[in-house]
Amino acid sequence: MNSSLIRSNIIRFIVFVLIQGVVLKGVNIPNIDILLYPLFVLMLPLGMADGLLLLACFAIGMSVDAFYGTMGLHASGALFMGGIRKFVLAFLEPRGGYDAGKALTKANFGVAWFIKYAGILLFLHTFWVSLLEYLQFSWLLGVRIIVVFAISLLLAVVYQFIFNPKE
Amino acid sequence: MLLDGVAHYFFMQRIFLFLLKYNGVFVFILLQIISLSYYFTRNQTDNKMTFVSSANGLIGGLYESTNRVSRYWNLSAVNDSLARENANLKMQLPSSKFSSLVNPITVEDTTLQQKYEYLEAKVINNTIHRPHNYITINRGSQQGVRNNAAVINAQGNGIVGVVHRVGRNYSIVMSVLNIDIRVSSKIVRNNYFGSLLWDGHNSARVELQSIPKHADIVVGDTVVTSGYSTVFPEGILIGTVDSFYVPSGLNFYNIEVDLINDLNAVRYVYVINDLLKEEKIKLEEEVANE
Repeated sequence: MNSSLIRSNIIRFIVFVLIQGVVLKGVNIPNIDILLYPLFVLMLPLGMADGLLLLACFAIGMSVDAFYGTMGLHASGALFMGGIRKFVLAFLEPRGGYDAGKALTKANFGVAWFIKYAGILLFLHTFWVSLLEYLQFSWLLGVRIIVVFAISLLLAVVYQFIFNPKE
Repeated sequence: MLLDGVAHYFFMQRIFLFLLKYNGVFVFILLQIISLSYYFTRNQTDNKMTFVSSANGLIGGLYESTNRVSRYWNLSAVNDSLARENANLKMQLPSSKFSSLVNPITVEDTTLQQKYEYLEAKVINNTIHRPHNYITINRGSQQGVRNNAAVINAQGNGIVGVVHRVGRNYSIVMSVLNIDIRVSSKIVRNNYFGSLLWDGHNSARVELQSIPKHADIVVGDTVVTSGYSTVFPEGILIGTVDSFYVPSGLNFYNIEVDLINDLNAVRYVYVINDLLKEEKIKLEEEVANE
């Protein structure tokens, strides 16, 4: 991992937390959240030590919690996402394998791969966070999960097309 | 002896390697325990992690400055309602009343003791669309806000919430639109009291429970706080009865109450500290422990 990769991840951390806490929190749609911060977890580079990766997930989750007043909910969600990321990556491994130190973006792995990767992880993340927040299952919660998932996937993909980050 | 030492060394090394190899698993479990225990103890007011919230100076300050921009959009509406409130208060002045007594006798009254203390505060952050809604206000422990103080709307005196976390200069209020809130409330006309809660769906409506089914209730009845808890004074307006029914097999009504406040439009609030709260709690605890 080189220093510019570290720097761009730190910048992403700060910018995503601010946008999430100041702009996206203010959008008042009943029972719907627009979640941008999972994209930070998605794009963390390959080859990070597991412990470090999870600490980064925990940190961004807790920062979002501080803004949202959700007290540990998003920390748990981001952590869950960081924990299962490894298995999703193994499941989606391209024929040639991965190069360590690459950020997981569209520019490095292609659109189809990125949508599959982001889709699986974002769905599991939305499912975890929603279930934990409402602590019951109803058809309304199912609708919420699908809508929140669709919005965050759209956000993640659009971000890739606008900025096309390589690191 | 030497062999023992060597065996011990290898044993420790293997444990160390084991921890290193599976560091992700341990970090995952540890951090997950921290987040989940924090999440599930969120309603304990003595929670040590108040700083991870908008009661801390950094995020509170950030919200205050973004609020400075956004509040201009609501200025005219706020002005109108403040003027209305001013007119209301002016009507209550002694000078605007006509006394019909011919020889009024004035009595020095020293028996009255201050029970409630009002602090005005500004809402600097607010949500209404989540299951657990909180409001951040720009007053904290330095200005005299205490935990579990009542918060009411400065325009019209309707219920807003309960102080949940107190920082130095900011506090977080659990909104009445929070599925964890319970407010002891009553119906004004017949004094039947019950417990008020929110189901998490409609931000204009709350639910009143535990009113026995023999009570006589009419659509439009006014619902106010009962004053039985140590949080709200008696008679803070909540709203009016919109509809009610008795769930089959139960002896209690399920009453839908229309909130008097639009929680999304709350800009200024009063924090009400109960100055005699400790005495009441202490007495009631003594009785409960007998």
